Amino acid sequence: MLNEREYEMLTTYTDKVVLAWWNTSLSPCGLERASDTDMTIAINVILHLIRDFEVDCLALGEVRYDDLLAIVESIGNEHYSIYDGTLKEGRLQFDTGVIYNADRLRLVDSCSIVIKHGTSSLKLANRLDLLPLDTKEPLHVFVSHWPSRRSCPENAPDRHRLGMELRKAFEKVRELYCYPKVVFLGDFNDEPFAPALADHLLAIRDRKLVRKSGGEHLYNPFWRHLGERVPHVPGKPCQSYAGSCFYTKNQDTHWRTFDQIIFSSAFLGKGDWHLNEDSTQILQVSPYDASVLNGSTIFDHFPVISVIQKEGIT
Amino acid sequence: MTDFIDAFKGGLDAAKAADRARKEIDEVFSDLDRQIIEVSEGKLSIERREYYVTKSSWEALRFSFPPKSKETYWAIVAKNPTIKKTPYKELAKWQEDPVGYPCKLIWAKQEQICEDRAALEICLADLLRDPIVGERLYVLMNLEPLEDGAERAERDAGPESPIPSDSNGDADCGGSVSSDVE
Repeated sequence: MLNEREYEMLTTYTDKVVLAWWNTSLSPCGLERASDTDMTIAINVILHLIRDFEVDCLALGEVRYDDLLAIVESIGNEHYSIYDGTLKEGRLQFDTGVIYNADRLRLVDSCSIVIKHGTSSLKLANRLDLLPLDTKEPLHVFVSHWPSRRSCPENAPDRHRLGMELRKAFEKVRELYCYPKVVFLGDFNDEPFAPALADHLLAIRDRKLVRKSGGEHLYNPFWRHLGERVPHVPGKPCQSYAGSCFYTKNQDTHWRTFDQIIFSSAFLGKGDWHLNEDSTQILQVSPYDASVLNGSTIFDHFPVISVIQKEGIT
Repeated sequence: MTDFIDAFKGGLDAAKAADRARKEIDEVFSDLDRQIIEVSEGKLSIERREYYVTKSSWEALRFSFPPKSKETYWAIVAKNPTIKKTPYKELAKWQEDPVGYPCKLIWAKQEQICEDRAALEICLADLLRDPIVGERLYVLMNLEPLEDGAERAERDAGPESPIPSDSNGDADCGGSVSSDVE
């Protein structure tokens, strides 16, 4: 029997997939509002994600199809393809899309999920079924941009509904296999502790419980990103961050952790793909971070990033 | 002592509510069918129908997991009642909760979850407005009756024919579960 250290020494990771989400603020609800300068800033952030962090699957929020095209053109890498999730249906507008490395991931299937109640509609998620290269194990990715707190307040029934329906969508995948590889990413306009995510979706902070359960619990590593990143040190002023988005006009807190990446238990030891939690973070990209913090630009979200890696024992 | 009588009554109420919801859904589909028959002068009819998931339809997903034995799905389909051996054209996949709502329509890479009658009616109207669905209905409506043998051959060559469950599977629709293939 190997102890943890011996196991770690013998374990190598033969493959990895880097996932990221960024609410770009370029075109909320599909409405163009970004200036050329804004677009240049956004493209620089994305180039940073693609080149320096080698992101394979970059989900983007508040974009139009034209934004996605402009971004891919700017990346200048022929391997990156677009999944256009910017569905328009009546008054409902999805404003998410995905740029993915087609050299590493194959898009097998996709769909947009809408909840209808009377004459109103809610956008739940875009679901992408991806196949990492050389595997036959699909990676199911749900990309969500849930309604803002302005249009759907914190404890509105629709928020509970979104959590419950996303849970059902996960259960549908679970019907196919015991421990499916599912990743949820997006701007939920809810914190990790909100009932929609913690109670209905069952995205919890407790890794042990996630491992112990029969695959029904999900792990949300962004519970660890709720507070100030840098500890307070007396006499030393320091710039710190306490969330993934920054709203200068908020009275109770400027910071929120609305942007999250959530994992099924398959990534916590129920298979050969593992979450790399060290690499799971909110990215304060310099000098972009200044434009978020000074509140004078359209930008108010930081990208969030995570890595899953495939284990092989030498 | 636990109040089992109250629990029992609650269960009966829930069963009645589910029955009402299912009847309401049936009523929506009856209205839809009646109107479509009327406007197409009897050349189109819409219903829900159960199919087997076939190996080929599953392999189209290119996953390594085979469908469970005799796995089925429901679809909203259209037929032309004036044709003796009418093809069935799948318009959308259909899923219904055991208690009626929510029900789900899946077509054109969209899943629409309907939580009540109004939502379902709007969703079905959206389905009919879809250009690809419109084209399927148009083709179906304009089918001419053929000689028995020829009609059969043409029907079986199509990608969306209902095929009895014991014959070779069909890539898109699978075999019809019910034996009343028309």
